[in-house]
Amino acid sequence: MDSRIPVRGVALTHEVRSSGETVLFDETGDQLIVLNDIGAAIWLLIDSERPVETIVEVVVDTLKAPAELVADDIGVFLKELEGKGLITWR
Amino acid sequence: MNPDLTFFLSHVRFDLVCPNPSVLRGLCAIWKGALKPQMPTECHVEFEVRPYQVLCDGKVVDEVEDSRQLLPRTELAIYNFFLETHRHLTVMHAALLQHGEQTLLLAGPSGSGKSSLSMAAVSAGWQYRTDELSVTDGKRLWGIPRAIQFDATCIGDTQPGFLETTDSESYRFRHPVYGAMYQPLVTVSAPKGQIELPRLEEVSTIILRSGRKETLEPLDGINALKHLHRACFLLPQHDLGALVGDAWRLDWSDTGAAIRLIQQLSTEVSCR
Repeated sequence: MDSRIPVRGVALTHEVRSSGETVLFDETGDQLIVLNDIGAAIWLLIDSERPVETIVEVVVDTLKAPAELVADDIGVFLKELEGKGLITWR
Repeated sequence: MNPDLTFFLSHVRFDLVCPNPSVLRGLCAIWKGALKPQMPTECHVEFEVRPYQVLCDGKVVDEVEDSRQLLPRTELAIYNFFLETHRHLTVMHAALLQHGEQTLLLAGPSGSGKSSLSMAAVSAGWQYRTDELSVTDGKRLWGIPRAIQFDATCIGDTQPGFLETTDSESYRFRHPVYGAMYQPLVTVSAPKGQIELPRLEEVSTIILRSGRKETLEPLDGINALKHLHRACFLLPQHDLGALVGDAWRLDWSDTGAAIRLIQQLSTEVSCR
């Protein structure tokens, strides 16, 4: 179980309604991540209060997917966000 | 305070006292299109231009050694105050034009043609909202209707012909900084009646690029967002996704041909 709490950095969220994509920019406006529906949902769950394990529980409940697989995928995703400076930990 | 000039940028009323007739004439020309509020006024500020000082609400915000610097430095103080009072809004370096129910947001780097195409669009019957600063609160979009200004050019240069065909007034005056240079400046009158501010999803966004021929092609939303991000002053404060649902890339070299393409786009949109 991962009890770390992800905290959003300065990132701007835009929903491209024509394509259904959610796009994140960092504060420089140069870096860009395009999120699919699940990525966008996880991003919305990052609220400086929920630990990773709670985020995993919500996604598992929603998708009815294997917890271990979901935890791995979320771990990779959060690491990518951290690498791009879009989240920190507390 | 009995202001010599009152104008409105977004929700802010600017009252300005300026005993210097030359500077006042320049400021009146620059802000002639902003003499009426586009939305309810929420706050106001008083600017005073003294012989060598610019004051904002009684506080000296700039001092100049040469009175010829007063006009540009007053403008700079106005912009600084404008941006400070718009931190909660998203301000983009983009032109905004309206024609009937059609609204165009033209974005692109400096020199890509925002001002030139705005002038040409006005000639073709479009309503000018801004060629420089567009503002959104995440729901609606409006412009800061400053007079259209082009880069300083040498004495003897002629303005493009389309400037002569608009109903706006055209000025040339000695550039206060460059001295011998002239700065073409085209004032735009305040709109008659109340403006209906367009919702973001009603806007067609066009990303401009100077090219060798005219092409207008659909642009995917993510690429359009990248350009809009670059166009933002400070950080965007709102989701701009709704602005890129109808996004286009315009390469252009000839103003008239570019406007014809934009007019076709307008026709296509109105037929949907």
